[in-house]
Amino acid sequence: MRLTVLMLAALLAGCAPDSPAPTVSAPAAAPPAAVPAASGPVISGAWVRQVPPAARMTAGYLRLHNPGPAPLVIVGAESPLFANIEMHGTVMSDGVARMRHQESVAVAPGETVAFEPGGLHLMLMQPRNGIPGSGAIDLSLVLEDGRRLEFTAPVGQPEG
Amino acid sequence: MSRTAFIAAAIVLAVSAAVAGAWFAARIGAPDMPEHARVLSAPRPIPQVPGLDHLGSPFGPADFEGRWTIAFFGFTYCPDICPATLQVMATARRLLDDLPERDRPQVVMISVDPGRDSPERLAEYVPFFHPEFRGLRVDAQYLPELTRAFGAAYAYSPLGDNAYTVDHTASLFLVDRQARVAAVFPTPHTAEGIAADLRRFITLENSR
Repeated sequence: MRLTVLMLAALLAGCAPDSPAPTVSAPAAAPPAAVPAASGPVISGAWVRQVPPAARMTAGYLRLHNPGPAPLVIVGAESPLFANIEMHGTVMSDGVARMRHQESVAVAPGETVAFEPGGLHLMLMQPRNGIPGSGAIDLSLVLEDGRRLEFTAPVGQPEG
Repeated sequence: MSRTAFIAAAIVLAVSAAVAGAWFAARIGAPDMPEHARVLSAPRPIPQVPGLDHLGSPFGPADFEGRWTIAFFGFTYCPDICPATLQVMATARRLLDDLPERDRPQVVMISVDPGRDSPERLAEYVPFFHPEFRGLRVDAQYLPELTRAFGAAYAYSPLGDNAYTVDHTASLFLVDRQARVAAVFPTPHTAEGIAADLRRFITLENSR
């Protein structure tokens, strides 16, 4: 009986969905020492899509969890490597992909918002010195209340 | 043996028998039908419109003949969907590396942004994902006729500092060896699903 359970567990583990290869959990903007990190917004799984050297832009992805009691509103993003970053959402309707600018993205208390392929993404435009083909990119999300959440996103390709 | 253990053993046995039965049933039947692609009842010939590949060579319906091709619409100023599709296709193509050359699919990205995508630009972009992938550029005046044959749509919308983006059908299209659009892979795409269906199309073709 125990063996059956173990085998089932192994089977289920084998069914876990693929996650993007470059997965890095980045702590949010260095919180003051007195405040436990868990109480602030948490960015995880950030990555930037590796694109051909000729590309003029690329996309950044991440998850932002809001453990606090108040909504978080993202109003922008910045990076020293790009002159302009916008939040875009890809919307599929009738098989047609449409990309639209998002002025802001709200995260309700206790919720997590995912910037992921085929959905919300950071559109990294006007690279100051070409788009890095490897390594990691420093980024920050700008919140409506003026806070900035800094994180680092490795450059890579998702699996599959 | 306790009662619980007996029931568990019985369940395991029953499930194994069902799986084995289904497997045998599938084996003795006709070849598997594609599971992801929607097969067109009437394949649509690719129209004869002038185009250039990413190397600047003429590219027309004749370039689709004799091979299976997976074609899709995209553009190089597209940061999310198009590179994701190219990446999935690169993985799918590698999953089919064991096939004989005549069965390995050609992969073509047709630009819906001929205003910005020159052959040179496509050359800097498309083969990055796989050295055998080809970019295709047709003049704006011919794009409606070409996309119509595929049943694809595209439209230009203002966006960001690059002035505009192109809304476009994100499906993948399977073009048969007679240069006809034969099937459509709706979104979302997985490399494994596409590769498995390609094998099914080839098996079906060989069983005729």
